[in-house]
Amino acid sequence: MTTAVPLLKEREKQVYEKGKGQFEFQCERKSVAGSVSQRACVFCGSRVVLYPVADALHLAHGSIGCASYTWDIRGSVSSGPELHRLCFSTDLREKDVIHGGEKKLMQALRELIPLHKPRAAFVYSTCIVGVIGDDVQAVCRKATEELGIPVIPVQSEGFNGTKKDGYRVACKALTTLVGTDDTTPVSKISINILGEFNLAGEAWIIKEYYRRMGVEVVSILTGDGRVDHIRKSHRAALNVVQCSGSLTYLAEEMKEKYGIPFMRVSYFGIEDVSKALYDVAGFFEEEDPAVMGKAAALVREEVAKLQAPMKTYRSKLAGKKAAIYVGGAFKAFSLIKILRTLSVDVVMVGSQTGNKQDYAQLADMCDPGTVIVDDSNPMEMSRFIIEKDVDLFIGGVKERPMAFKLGVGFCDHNHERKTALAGFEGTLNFAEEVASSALSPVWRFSPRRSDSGKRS
Amino acid sequence: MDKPIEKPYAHASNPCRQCMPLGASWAFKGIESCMPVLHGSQGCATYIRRYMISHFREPIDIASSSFDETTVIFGGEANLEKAVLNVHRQYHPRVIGIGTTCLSETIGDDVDRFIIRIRDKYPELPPLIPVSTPSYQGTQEEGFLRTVQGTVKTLAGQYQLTEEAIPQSDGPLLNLFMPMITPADIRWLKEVLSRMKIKGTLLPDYSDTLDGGMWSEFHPMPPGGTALEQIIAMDRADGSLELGSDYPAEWRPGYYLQKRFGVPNARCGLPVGIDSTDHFLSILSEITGQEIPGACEQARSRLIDAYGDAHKYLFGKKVVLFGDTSTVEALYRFASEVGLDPVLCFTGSPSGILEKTLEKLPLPEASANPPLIKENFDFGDAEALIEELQPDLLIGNSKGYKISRKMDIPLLRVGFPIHDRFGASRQRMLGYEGTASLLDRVVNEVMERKQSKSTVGYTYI
Repeated sequence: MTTAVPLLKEREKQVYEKGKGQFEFQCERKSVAGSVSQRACVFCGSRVVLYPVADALHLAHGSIGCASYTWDIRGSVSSGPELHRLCFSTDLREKDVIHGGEKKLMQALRELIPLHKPRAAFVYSTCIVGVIGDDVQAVCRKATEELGIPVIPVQSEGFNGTKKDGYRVACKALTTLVGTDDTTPVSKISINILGEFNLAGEAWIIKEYYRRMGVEVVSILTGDGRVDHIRKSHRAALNVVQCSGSLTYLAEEMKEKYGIPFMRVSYFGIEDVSKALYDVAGFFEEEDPAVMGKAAALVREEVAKLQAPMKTYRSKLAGKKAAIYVGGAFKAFSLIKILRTLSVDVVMVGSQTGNKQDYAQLADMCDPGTVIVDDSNPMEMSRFIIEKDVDLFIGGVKERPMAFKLGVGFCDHNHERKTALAGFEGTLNFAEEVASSALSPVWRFSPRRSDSGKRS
Repeated sequence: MDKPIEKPYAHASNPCRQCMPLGASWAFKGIESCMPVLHGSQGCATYIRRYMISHFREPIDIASSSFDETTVIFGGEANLEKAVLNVHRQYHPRVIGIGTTCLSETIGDDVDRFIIRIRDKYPELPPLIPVSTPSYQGTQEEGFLRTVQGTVKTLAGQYQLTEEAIPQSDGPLLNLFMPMITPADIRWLKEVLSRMKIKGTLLPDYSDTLDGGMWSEFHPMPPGGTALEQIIAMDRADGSLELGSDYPAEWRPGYYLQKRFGVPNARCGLPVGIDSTDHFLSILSEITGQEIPGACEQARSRLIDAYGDAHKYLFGKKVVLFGDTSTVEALYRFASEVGLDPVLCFTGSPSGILEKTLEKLPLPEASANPPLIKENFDFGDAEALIEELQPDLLIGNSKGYKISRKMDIPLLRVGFPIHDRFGASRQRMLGYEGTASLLDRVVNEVMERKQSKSTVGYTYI
C-alpha cells in the first residue's frame, strides 16, 4: 500500500510544509464532512472549560451518550468535593423528543440538587435540545428561584459551531457567577489563574510558585474549581490566562466589565514557565518590588534542580524526531521549545483549534521541512509519521493507537493525563515520558521500523 | 418489541450504558474494509472513537457528516453526500456503514432515501448500509444488533457475485451472528468451526480489526473483518446460528434470513459454562451434521475438574452482575453453575429481555432469595442496593469501579467498556477454555481478597 495518501481538496490549505511555497494557511474552519476530524463538538468545548468546577452539578440535557462519553473523562483533580466526577443526564427518550424535555429537565434538577447539594448547577444543552425547542433558559431561571442555587444554562448544542465555540459558551456561563461576591477581601497583589484545569494536580504546582512569590491566587478557572472562588474572582488585580484561549473570552469580558488586565502565559517547559513567573512579577513590580526578587530566586532554585537530569535526557534523545498534535496551538509552542531543550527535532506540528496568528507563529518557530496541520485526521497524520520518519508522537488518546501501530512512541499531553507536566517538575516528568516512549526497547520489534519485527 | 422499561425518576446518574451509534460503529468495524459514518454532529464520532480506543487500544476511525447550524435547518443530505464521497476518496472502503444519531433522526432526515439518490448520482460508490440508530432509543447493544441486521438486509442476496466469489465448501455453510464479545472469543468460535470443518461466516468479525498486530505498512482500515462477498452470500448458507439473549425479531439477522430466504435459524445464549457450551456445541452439530471434536471433550473435562477445585472458594459468595443483556445472562448461568449467589443482575438496556430470560431459569443452588433483576438501571440506581446487599464481588464493566472503591468490594472487569485495565480484547469467557479462564479470574479475586484482608498473611490459601 502506498503512503502517498492524497489530501482532501477542501483541506489542502490546512496543511503546509515549511519552505514549500507560500504560507497561505487556512484555519478556524468547520471540519470537513467525512474527513475524520480529531475534534469533538461545542458540547465538548464547554465540558473542557467547566468540568473541573468540583462543587457544581453538571447535568447534560439530552440523550445518554453525551453524558456517558464525558463521565470522569479528564484528569482534573479536586482537593475537596468531587461532584464533577459523577455523571448526570436527563436521558431524553423518544417520547421526550416528541413532547419536549422541559418538564423532565425541571424534574431532574428537583431530584438532583437536594440530593447532591451543589453550590451551582450547569445545564448543558446538547444537539437535540437545540432542535426540539426546549426553553432551557426559562427552566434554569425557574430552578434558580425554586432551588436556591444558581442554575446556569450552557448553550452547547453540538452542531452550533466547533469545540472553540464551546469555550465561548462556557465562559458566558461563568460570567453569570463572576462578580456575585463583593465582600470577601482580596490582596492587592493577586491574580486569577485562567485556563488551568488542575490535571494531575498541575494547578497546585503553579499556585505554590505564586505563593512563594507572595502573589495571592484568588481563583483558578477552573482547576480544582469552586463556585465561591469564581464569584469573587473579579476582585483580583490580574488575570493570567493559560492554554490556547479557552478562557480568553472570560478574560476579555472581565477586562471590559471590571477593568482587570490579562496576560497570556504557558506553564510548560523551563523557558515558558520562567517567563510566566517573571511576567507576573513584572506586573506587580510597582506595587511590591520584592515579588520580582522572589520570582528570580524561585526560578534559579528550580532550574538548578533540573539541569543535571535534563542533560542526561538530552544526550539520550539527541536527533530523535517528534510529531505534535494538540488541542490548542499555544501548547504546541511550548512543546516545540521543550523538545528543542531535549535536542529532539519537531517534524510535524498541528492543532485542533489554532488561529491564523498561532499558525504564523508556528511557521516562524519551526525548521524548514516541518509540516504544519490544522484540524488534521488520522490519514494525514499517519502519512506524515511515515514520510518524516517520526520517532515520537505527542498528542491525545485518539492519536495514541495510530502511533503504536506504526511502531512510534507516544506521549499523552491532553486533558486525560495522569502525570503533571506543568511547571518545572512537570518539565522533568515530561522529559522522562519522552525518554520512556522514544527509547523503549519494544520498538525494535515493530515490523515497519526494524528488521527484527519482520521475522515472524 | 415491548414498551421500554422506564425509570421512576427524571434523571440518570452514572450510566451503565452508551448510545446506539457506538454499537453501530462497533459492528461496522467487523466488516472487511468498511468505514463507518455517523450522520450527525462531529462530536458523536469523536467521542465514540475515543471511548472505544480506550477499551480496544487500536486505531478506530469513524467519519462524521459534521452537522452545523444550516444542516439542522435544511437537512443533512448534502453533508451525508459529502461525507460519503470524502470517505470514499480518502479510504477507498469496500463498504460504507451509515448510522444515524439523535440529531439527524430528530430533524427527520430520511437517510434511506438520501442513499438511493447518492447511489444514483455516484454509481462508482461501494455499497452503503444505512442503519437507524437514534441515541434516544435503546443502548449500544441494540445499536450493534440492529446494525448487524441492517447489514444483512442491505447485502445478503442483494448483489451479484462472481463465480469465484460464490462460497465453495465440502462442509456445511453456516452464518454465525454474535453480540458484543471479545476479539479473543471470536477467535475461539472460528477455531471451533474450523475443527468441525464448518465453513462459517461470522458477523461481525472484528477479531483482527479491533485486535490486530503492528503494521509493516500503513493501512487506511485495519486488515481483517467479514468479507463483503461472504455477507452477500449469506442467503446461500445451510443455516444460521444467533448467539446471545432472546432479542426481539427486529434486531435479529438470522430471523430475517429465515423469513426472507428460508435459511434455517437457531439461537442459543453465549456459550459460557458447561451447560451453555454443551448446548452450543450440540446445536452446532445438529444444524451442520458435523461431529463435536474430541479436543472439546478434553477441555470440558479439565473445566469440570477446575469447578471441583474451585467450589469451596465460591459457594454462596454473593455477586452482582452487570453489563449488556447477553453478557449478564451468560454470567448468571455461569454463576449458578459454580455455586455463586447472584444477588443483583442489572443492565442499562431498557429492553425487558433480561428479566424475561432470567425469571425462567431455576433459582441458583446457593441463592436464598431470587436475584433482583433490574433493567434501564444505572450505577446511580445500583449504589444503594449494593450497599444493602453487601456482595462479595462485582462482575461487570469498568464503570463499576466507583462503587467498588467506595464500598471496598472487588470488581472483576468483564465486558465493555474496560477503561482501567489492560488486555480487554484478549479476555476469554466463551467455551470450556474461556470459562476456565473466567473461573480462574473469579477464584483469584476471591483468594486475593481473603489473603489481603487476613491479619495472618497466609501464604497458602
